[in-house]
Order: sequence, then structure tokens, then C-alpha cells
Amino acid sequence: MAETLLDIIQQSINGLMYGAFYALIGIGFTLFFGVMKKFNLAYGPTIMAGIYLGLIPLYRWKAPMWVVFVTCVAGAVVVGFIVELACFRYLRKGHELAPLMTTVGMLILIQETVVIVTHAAPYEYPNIFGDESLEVGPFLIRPDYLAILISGLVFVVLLYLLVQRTAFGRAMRAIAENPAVAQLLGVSVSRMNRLTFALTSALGGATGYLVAMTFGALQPGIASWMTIKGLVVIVIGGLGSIPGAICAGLLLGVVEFQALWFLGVGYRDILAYLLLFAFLVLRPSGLMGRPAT
Amino acid sequence: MLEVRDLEIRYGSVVAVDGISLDVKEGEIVCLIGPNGVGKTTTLLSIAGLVRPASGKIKFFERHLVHLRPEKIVRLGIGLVPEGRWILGEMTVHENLLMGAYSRKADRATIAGDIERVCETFPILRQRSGQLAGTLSGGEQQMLAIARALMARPRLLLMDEPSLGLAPLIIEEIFRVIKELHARGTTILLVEQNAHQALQIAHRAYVMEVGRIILSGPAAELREHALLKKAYLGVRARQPS
Repeated sequence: MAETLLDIIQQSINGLMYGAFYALIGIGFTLFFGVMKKFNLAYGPTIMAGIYLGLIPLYRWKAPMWVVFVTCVAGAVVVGFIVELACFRYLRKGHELAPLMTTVGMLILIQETVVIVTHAAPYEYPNIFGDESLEVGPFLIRPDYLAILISGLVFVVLLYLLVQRTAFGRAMRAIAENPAVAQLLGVSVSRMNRLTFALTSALGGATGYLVAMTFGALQPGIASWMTIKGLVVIVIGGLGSIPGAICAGLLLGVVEFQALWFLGVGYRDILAYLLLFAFLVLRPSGLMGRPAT
Repeated sequence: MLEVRDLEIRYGSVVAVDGISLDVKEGEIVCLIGPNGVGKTTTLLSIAGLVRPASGKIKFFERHLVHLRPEKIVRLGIGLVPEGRWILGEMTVHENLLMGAYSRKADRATIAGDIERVCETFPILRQRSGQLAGTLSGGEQQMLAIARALMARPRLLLMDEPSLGLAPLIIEEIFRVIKELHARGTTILLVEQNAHQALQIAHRAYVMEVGRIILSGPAAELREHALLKKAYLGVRARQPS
């Protein structure tokens, strides 16, 4: 009994740390949605492509890990820019749902490009934090998970300051609330779209750099996996709510790790989707979203 | 200052504005009056760049505006106080004012000084500074919408029905402010259904009727115009006995 309790706590700790990653993907989706009122299903592949681009300096020139980090971030920003150009910029006046199709197309395109380039072989990704867990009382803390949690906290604080305290953040909130007013006051919507893409892609690249370490080996399928996790998080958290995305990300992490430990690896995603399903049925507006009007 | 020529605006196949022309000279208060739904708001929105006309010209100090985006037009010195206020309800009053100055490349101190200045015109905004704008009363929201437009230091201020839905005392206050802004050198193009009060403060006026301008001239003359008296001013023209 006591052992079970310890297990639950241990897996909750793991889940919270890992959930910080889900929260960050969810925040990325929320920022996209806030500024553009559209979904970017190519967000996962953007992150994945960033991580894979980060491998180039590592494998070619045995570059140090900070170079890999910078390449991940820069790579994701470049790919994000391509996604914005190809899937959004010229479709803005078109049908609302068009970007869903263009970004699904982009998701497949990026994923399959990486499959072809890497011959679908998994690539090893070094873990700078090593394998040794920290012992805190009866609990074990994986250093790479801890790094995700800490970086998540840092990003959330930085984003909070950016959104609440800067002219850029005010412009972002103005567009989210009423794009016509924002334009009237001098905000360029197309410029804000590009900046939002750059911001979320950089955030994705930086987080992806850490998450890739927890995988050990990379394979292109993580692209759609990340997109799906992001969508689950924003549905559970409530569309357009950053605090909602944070809570939902952490919750999803905890639920997944309990499932992983007590039910086995096959149940991890099943339980995550059950949670999604439960929210869609019982609370479609999510944890912190507003009820649909 | 502002020159509108043969402006035609369509929503789909519906002609909302059917070839109107009007001028605003520097230092004037010009009002555009007429009943609901004749295209007054559409005209203002197209000057501000939010609605693209089908044909016609809009010139501001010799600069063509028709193909410019709204964020460019505000930088040229045209501010719009939209109908229904359009304040940013989820931001504080202070943030709304800061957003008003978004288009300017000014340092913090200058902007803080300008906020101070508009708060002198509207003291209530200072009291409400940290409050979410959506929680303000209708009159306060209107004052915020005007103050926010002033934060861009416009040379020409377009005002769309600033008195709509407000209590008489607050309407008085709004018209007093319009006169004060004008006295300080802002040129104003005012759209109003409240023709009586608008004609009191305007220099010139245009009267719109289903997409066209049917009358124009000095406000003092229009105040005496029989048609207007009957239709908008609520004064019956005297019947010859």
C-alpha cells in the first residue's frame, strides 16, 4: 500500500516534469490560435525538423552541444517561416479551414522528407545530463526531465513578461481580441503573424532540443506525435488560454506516467485520449476556456 | 486636407456608398449626417483603410489612401473613433491608452506625458487606469475610445456616432470635448445621427441619403434648411398660412 503510494507520487513527479513539455507545445498552439484564430498542425513537424537540423553540426563536425541547441532553435525558426509562407500568408483571405489542410499537407511533407533523407533510420541523440538520476528521499529525479521542467518555468515567466509587459505583447493581445481595432491602432497583422511564427518556432526548437534527449533516439514520427499532444493539451486546457495550456500539459503528463507505470506502455496514449474524450463530452470548453457562445 | 472623390463602396453586389465626394480642410469640424444605414460609417471605415472601395479616390495631404492598409493610414495622422467604441475590453484602461500610441515612435516619457494630457481631458480615465476596459460604463468607454485615438496624435480625427446610446449629460460632455479638441488644433470629421447637436458645433456639413450626398454647405445654413428641419431636427417647417 505504502509502496503503491510512493509509486503514484514518483510517477506524478515524472509526469509533472515531462508535462512541462506538453504545456509548452500547448502554449505554442495557443499563441498561434490567439493571433491568427487558426490551427497550425505543422507545429510538431516544425519542432521535429529543428531537432533534426540540430543533428547536422553534431554528426558532421562533432560540434559542441550549445551549437546543436542554437541550430535546433534557428532551424525551427527557418522551417516555421517556410510553414507561414506556404500554408498561411497567401491563404489569409481564403476559407477559414484552408490552413488545416495546408498544414496537414506540410506535416506529411516535412515528415516524409526527413524519412527519405535519414532512410528512416533512428538517429542517436546524446543526452548531456547523463543517465544517473538524482535521489531525493525515496524518489528518483531524472536530470533531463528536471531540465525540461526548469526550462519550462523559465519560458513561461519570459512569455508572461513578453505578453503582459511589452508593446509586442499588447499588440498580440489586441489582435487576439479584435484584429480590426488592432489594425486601426497601427498594428500590422501580417508582421505580427510572422513574429508569432518566429516566437513559437524558437520556443519549440528550444524545448525540442531537451525533449530529444529524453528519447535517446530520434525518428520522424515524433512530428505528428507532438502535433497531436499539442491539440490534446489545448482542448483540455481550453482554447486560447495560456494558464489552461499549462495546467492541461501538466495534467496530461501525470496521467500518462501513471498509465505507463501501472498499466504498461500501450496504455499511455489510450489514457491520454480517454482524458481528451472525457473533456470533449463533459467539459468541451476545457479547464479554463470560455463556454462556447 | 482630406479629399474624397467619387467614392463607391460595395458589399458584394450591394452598393453601400454610391459615388460621394467630400472635403475636409485643416482646422474644420465637418459633419456627415443622415439616417441609419445610408453609408456614413462605411465611408469613415474606408478612409481609415478598413474597407476597400470599389472605385474613387481618397487623398490626405496629396497622399492617396485607397490602397494603403489601416496601420499605414494611422501613421499618416488619421485617427478613428469607431462606432460602438471598439475598446479592447480585456485590457486595462492604461493598456488601451498605450495601444493608442502603438503607431508612434516615441519614448516612454513622451507617451506617459500624453497619457497625462488625455487624462486631464477625461479625469475619469485616471481613476479607472488599472481597471479592465470592458468593465467601464458606456460613457466611460466612449471617452476611452476618444482618448485612445488621441494618443496617436492625429491631425484628422474621424468620429463615428460618438453620442450613440449615451445619456444626455454625457452627450453634452462629449460635444464639449470635441469643441475643446478642435480648439487645440485637431481637425474633425464627425458622423452623427444627432444632427441638431452636430450642426451646432460643425463648420460645414454633408447630408447623406442611401449612399449619396444630397445636401451640403455651411452648418449655419443647413440648420435653417427646410428639408433638414423636417427630417432630422425634429422641427416642423412652418406652413405658409
